[in-house]
Parts: sequence; structure tokens; C-alpha cells
Amino acid sequence: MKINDKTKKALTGLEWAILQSPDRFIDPDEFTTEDFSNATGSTNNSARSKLSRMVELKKLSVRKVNQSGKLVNAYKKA
Amino acid sequence: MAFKRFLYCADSHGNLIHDESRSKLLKFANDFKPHYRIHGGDLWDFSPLRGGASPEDKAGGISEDYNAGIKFLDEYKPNYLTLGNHDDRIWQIAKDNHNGVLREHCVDLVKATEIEFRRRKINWIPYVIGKSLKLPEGGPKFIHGFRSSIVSPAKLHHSDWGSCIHGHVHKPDTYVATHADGGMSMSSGCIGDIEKMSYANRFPSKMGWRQGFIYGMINDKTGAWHAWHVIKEGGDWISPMGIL
Repeated sequence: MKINDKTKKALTGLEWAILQSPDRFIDPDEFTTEDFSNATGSTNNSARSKLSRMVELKKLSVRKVNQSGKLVNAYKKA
Repeated sequence: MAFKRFLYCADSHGNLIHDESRSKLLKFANDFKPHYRIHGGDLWDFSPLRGGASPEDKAGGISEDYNAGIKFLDEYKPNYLTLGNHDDRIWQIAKDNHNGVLREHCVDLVKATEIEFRRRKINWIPYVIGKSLKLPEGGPKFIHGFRSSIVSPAKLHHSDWGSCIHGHVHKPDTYVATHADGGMSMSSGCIGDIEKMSYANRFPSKMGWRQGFIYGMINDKTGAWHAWHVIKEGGDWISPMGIL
């Protein structure tokens, strides 16, 4: 059974929308939890909790970016 | 008293399907003549829609993946389908995504896909905790699977869903309950090509993955059931009936 024309149209439209959606990569002034943990010598858990505290205090801002096929938090000075 | 036969496969992953597994399954279905055919989800891979999709993933498009999933539906002809976490990506984005353009196009594909299921008379359920499929005679619940640990996945799913047959973990496993009421759960190997699923190349759990599927029988009066794995080990397809 063939797929119907509505499905074909929906597929083409979605492929276009995927290509239009912006890629979100890390900027030079941003860093990840892993960067912070490597720089400070703290464990990943401790780095995560320190960073989230600084986000709560509005010292840092955070957004999700793509890194090695995963979505990770990217932080920068607020 | 009579028994009804059922066949369960899962995780075919669109254009990442393993051709040999597909052929073995379809040949098996032809010989076994199941009354019920169940697809346990991840009919598609939809890798361009995952959170961390790379530009290469996105450039690959989804038509090839989608068409391969529909082609497999038409060959396997399932009566029942439980959506998996990969399939669910378009339903999730259609429901809630910050990118309005992407969301609207997913809404269109969701509507079109639900029509495709209806045209094929497939009884399907969304990927939602608490939703499961049952055959008219009773027997196990059929779900895609929600837990990703491959340490005793069947036992883990049994503890939440009771007797069930699920996919998701790509690892054949069986758990027989020890309490007086009995019960059993099984997780199935996959129909998708393990080698092609490179996103998991750094997960130790991948070592437990196998190509495979499950077949079984259910008593049409009591709902009592038995099921068995068919698994590819090395170059051989092993089932309780012997080498396929």
C-alpha cells in the first residue's frame, strides 16, 4: 500500500522545517559542566550543583546546545 | 480449547532495518501463521528529530526512514502497534516545541501517520506510561518499554507492568515471577541493524543487544500463554524449534 499524498506532502514540509531549524552549538564565551569540572578539579555532580546555584543567583545564564550528538547545558556570565 | 498464535517484533528503526532479520521474521510469519502480529514500536528512527541531532543527521532527511518504516508495516502487516520513544518524537514535537514551524509540520505528519495506521487497520497506542495492548484472549501486556537498563530488563518491566512483552532495550531477556500467581515477562531482541545504530557505540549495554523477535501461543479460554525467543547468535538464528 502506497503512502497517500497528504503524507508525502507532510514529509516534504517537515524535511524543509528540519533544515530551517537553527543548529545550537556552543559559543566561544560559553562552557559546559564538563569544562567547569575539569578546570576546577571538582566532580561532575559537584560542578553541576555549583553551576545551577550560580544560575539561580543570576550570575550565569544557561541554554541547551548540541555537543557530540547530545544536548548539554552551556553556561556563560549573565 | 484452542490456542491462538502471536508474533511480536520491535525496534525495526526505519531505514536502519536489518535485512536478514526482516527476511527471517517474514519467513517465520509465513510458516507460523500467527493470528496476531504485534509491532512493539520504534518503527522509525527519526534521528534528525532527536535533541542533539547533528547537521549531518538533519541533512539526511526523514523520508527514507519514514518510507522504510511504512514498507515494513506493509510487509509484516501488524494488527497491533505500540509506538516507541523514537516514533514518539513527532508526537512530542507536535505537542510541545519552541520552534513553531517545526511543530506545525510535525502536527501535519502526525495526522497523516494516524491516517496511514487507520488505512492499514492497525490498532495502535501512543508511547505513554500506563498504556498497553492486550489480545482479546488476555495474556501479557504488550508495550514498547520505558526502562533502559539492560540488567534484567524483563524483571524491571515486570515489576511495573506485571506480565508483559516489550522491546526498547534490544536485549532478549526472560523473567519468571517467583510468587504463587506466577507470571512472566520478556524483552525482545531487535529487527533494526545493531551495527547501523552507531549512536550507541559507546554504551556498554550495546554488547547485550541481539537481533531477534518473539513468538507465542495463548489459550483462547483461559488466557494462559507461553512465548519463546528467536535470537541471532553468531551467524545462526536459534529458536526452541531448532536453527532457522
